[in-house]
Amino acid sequence: MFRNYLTIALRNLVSHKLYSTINILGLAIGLACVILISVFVRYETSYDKHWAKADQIYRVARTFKRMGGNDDLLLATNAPQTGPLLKADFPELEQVIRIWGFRLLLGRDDIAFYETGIKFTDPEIFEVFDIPLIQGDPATALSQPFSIILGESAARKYFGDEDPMGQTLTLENRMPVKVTGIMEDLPDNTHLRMDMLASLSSMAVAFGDSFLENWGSNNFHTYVLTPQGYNIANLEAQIPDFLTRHIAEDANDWTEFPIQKLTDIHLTSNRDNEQQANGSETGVYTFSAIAFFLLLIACFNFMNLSTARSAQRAREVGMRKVMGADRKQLIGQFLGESVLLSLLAMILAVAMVELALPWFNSFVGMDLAFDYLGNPGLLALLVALALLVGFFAGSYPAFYLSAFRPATVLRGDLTRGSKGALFRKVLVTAQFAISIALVIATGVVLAQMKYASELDLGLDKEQVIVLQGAPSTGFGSSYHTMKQEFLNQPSIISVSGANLMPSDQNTNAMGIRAEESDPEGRGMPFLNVDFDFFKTFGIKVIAGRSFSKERGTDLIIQPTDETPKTSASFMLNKLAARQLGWTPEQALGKWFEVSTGDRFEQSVRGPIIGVVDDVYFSSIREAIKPVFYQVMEPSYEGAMIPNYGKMAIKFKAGSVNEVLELIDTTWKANLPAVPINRSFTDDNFAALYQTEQQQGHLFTIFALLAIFIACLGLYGLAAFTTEQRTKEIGIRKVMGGSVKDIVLLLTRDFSKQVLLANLFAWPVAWFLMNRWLETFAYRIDLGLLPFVFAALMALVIAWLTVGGLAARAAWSKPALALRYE
Amino acid sequence: MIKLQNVTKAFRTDEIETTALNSINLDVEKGEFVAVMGPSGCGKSTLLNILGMIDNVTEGSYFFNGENVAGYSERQLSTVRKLNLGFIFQSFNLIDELSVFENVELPLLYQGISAAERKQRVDAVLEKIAIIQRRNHLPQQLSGGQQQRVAVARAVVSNPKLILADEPTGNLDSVNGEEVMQLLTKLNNEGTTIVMVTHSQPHAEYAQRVVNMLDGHVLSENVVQLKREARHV
Repeated sequence: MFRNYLTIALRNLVSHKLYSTINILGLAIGLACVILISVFVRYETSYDKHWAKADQIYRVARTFKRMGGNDDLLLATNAPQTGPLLKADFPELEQVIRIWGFRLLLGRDDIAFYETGIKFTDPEIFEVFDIPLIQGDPATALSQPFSIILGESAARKYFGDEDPMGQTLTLENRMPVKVTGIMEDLPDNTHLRMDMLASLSSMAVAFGDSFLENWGSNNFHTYVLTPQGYNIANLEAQIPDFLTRHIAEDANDWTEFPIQKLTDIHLTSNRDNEQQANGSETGVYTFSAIAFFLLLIACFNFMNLSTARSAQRAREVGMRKVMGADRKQLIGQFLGESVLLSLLAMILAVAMVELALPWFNSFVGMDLAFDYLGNPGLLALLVALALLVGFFAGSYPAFYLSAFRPATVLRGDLTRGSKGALFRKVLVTAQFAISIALVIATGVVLAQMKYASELDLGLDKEQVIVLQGAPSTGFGSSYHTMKQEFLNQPSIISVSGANLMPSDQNTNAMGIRAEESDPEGRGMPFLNVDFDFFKTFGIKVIAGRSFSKERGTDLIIQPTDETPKTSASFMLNKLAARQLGWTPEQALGKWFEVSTGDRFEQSVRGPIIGVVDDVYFSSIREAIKPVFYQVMEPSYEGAMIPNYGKMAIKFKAGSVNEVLELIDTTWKANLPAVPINRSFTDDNFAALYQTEQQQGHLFTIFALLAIFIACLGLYGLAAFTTEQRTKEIGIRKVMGGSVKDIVLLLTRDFSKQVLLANLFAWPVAWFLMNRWLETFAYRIDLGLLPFVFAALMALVIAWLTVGGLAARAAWSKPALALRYE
Repeated sequence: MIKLQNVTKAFRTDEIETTALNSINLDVEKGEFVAVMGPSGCGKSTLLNILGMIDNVTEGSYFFNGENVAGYSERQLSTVRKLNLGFIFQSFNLIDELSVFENVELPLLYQGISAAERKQRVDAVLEKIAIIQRRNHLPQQLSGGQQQRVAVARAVVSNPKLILADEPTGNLDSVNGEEVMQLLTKLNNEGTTIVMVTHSQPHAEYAQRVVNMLDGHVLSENVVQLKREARHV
């Protein structure tokens, strides 16, 4: 029995190659997408679950609630003293650790690299995160200041095959650290980014106790280890008292310590100062949904094509029933055929995934593996999926075909019940609805990306190179020398310096107060610049004047204990002026005060001498922030970090090569121990939208796939109905119908279905894309264009698909059609 | 063996009702060879479908070997059919994807007979019908006459008590047609009851009795016995 089914299934496949190919191809594409996306989703949901105590670890983040119209500041990090205070106040916590990282120069003899993965941490870190040490003792490796544990890759990078233990590396060319351990590289699926671990106490020794005692220096990732079975709500309930106790009476009015579960961080946390860019839960859901829908389309396809062939199989069904088959046996036969097809499709799908995986990996920047041969569980899952799909997709055709009454089909009378036809039409409409929605989504994403890249930022981003100096010293004493050398070059138009450059994210803020505003003060973002900043970037001054060296009074003089109150001049952007209650003109001359110590005990006060236009400094996902500008020297004596460590060079178009050469030679001459770090501002802006670009690409691909599969389905359905109407077409031709008449007749029905599909697709797409666009502070209007375009495209594709078939039917000889036996 | 009592068959669509058979009464004895004749649209094929239990009556009773199968469900009909009936059609109705052997073994497959026994019985029947040399060919590779012979083999392989033939010679030339009629006669001589619908007067005379139909009624029955015996002499 089984062999008979297998035989006829295989022979059917071979003798109807076109249909078999379409079916297998369609299913394979659907399955391949599901597999690929499942691998991705499985990986994304596995982050941080491998730590032994993963369920017991929480991160204590910080939120600053902005008053007066600004957004809340969401930080993943906290103040340095939070950790130890939590440990002291809550003895039920098993352990509390802090991790602090900064971009630092690390060197050994002649080689030096900027490292963003050096993290300074408490020695108890190994009690929280069970990082395996290859060499060294976790209990003691970080107990001394100036100790460092290298990851395997880092060890290889700096020491090659030598044994690094006990050797010395140098931080920032001035701080030696001793290698006290080698650790395994962290796996990729953790939100932590730690290539090397150094002892946090080093910083306290190097920069004084104030480094670890500053409520305003929220740069420390703080993790608590709770006992097993602990209810975190206990801790959360006690936080408000903790804040009042240690920070201020009214601390709860303006700050919060949200507590995040470790395993939730990767998918749900997108605060500032994350260790590295996290994933997105929405992304995971979106792609899962897309994969599911693609598979659904492919299954619908299968159903349609199988029932379309039913005319040919009807006689066989009738005969088998006459020969004694009951309905169950026939259902079994047809299900067997679809399962066979599905298994073949699965094999093809696995091959497709193998081919596509390297490209997919480079696309999403991951290293996903699809190891089905080495993992019997995975293999079983694949087979189960194939079986499930085979059963699901084959169910409708099996039940439909097996229901034929022998008398009906043997009579040669193939009147389809209207019920069957309706279901098939619903399937095709659904396929097109899904495809159209995807096309609309793609159109909107691409349009928004175009908008972002073409937006007038209010500043010049073309022909600007940004140099970034050493993290803790910037350009040191070479700033002015280098600037002058650059300016001597005729192809360089302007040079400037600032602590942040356009395309950076500004999360800094200082306490300020101003004339006519709240004497308590507020926080406001700031930018430290030199005199030529606005000129270099072409930012318009809309009231007053720009900073001027000649005046002599603009430059910030840093307050000290002896002179706690100093003076300078300030500039605001238009938004800052408005927030303080002024038009740009009204702001001129008003006094402005910046607190450099605690609560204005030390401060700089001076007049507002100019207001500049608002500029799109960062990604358009964020609203423009109010900003005050202060002009400073690059660095002050004894300060831990420079006032600004970035330099911007505006050059004439067409001279990029000579400018780059000049930069490199000047840098090497002035900062020999610091690796060159330069980038183009327009590249930096483009990089802001990398995720969205990727999303746009993925959407495009999925939309194309969906349309392709939907067209396969449409083709099948069209083939079927055309075949069914062969006799009708023959008669119409004999009665005088032209080829054009026939083609119009056949395409008219499908046009209706495609138009109906739009009715479903448009609202869904509109709702979803509106939500997506709302994540951008600045966005396009969701106009009608992408919708209309998608509708037209679907219509044209449908016509092309069906029209070909219709034309062929219309051209055939009527005699052939009318001879009905 | 067969007793139709006041059997009516009507086809109904939304608005139209067509009565194909109108209160038919018919008896067929075991071992008889009955031919049914009449113009197009008189209901012959419908009658055959009813007799063959591949269609239900609208009204009336159908006694097959004493059982009234008129109200049977599709499944019940299928069981009775499997065990008792064989079919031959005008357009052969072989399954194109199966070989001659596989086509003929189909009824035995659905009865759950073992592979070894199937092989033995099918080969025996193919020998008897003299088509064994085409055992592994596909229907497309056979002539019309050969295809119908395969159909006959399929009809008899399960040793049915009754064979129903719907215009078995309709698509065949005179030589092949004669051959098939000879086959049917031989089967009838061996004891198989046969009911055959035909347009062809000469072929009808192979039967013992001819039933004439018109517009869903039985008009008359003629006994053909004399002619038949004459042939054998």
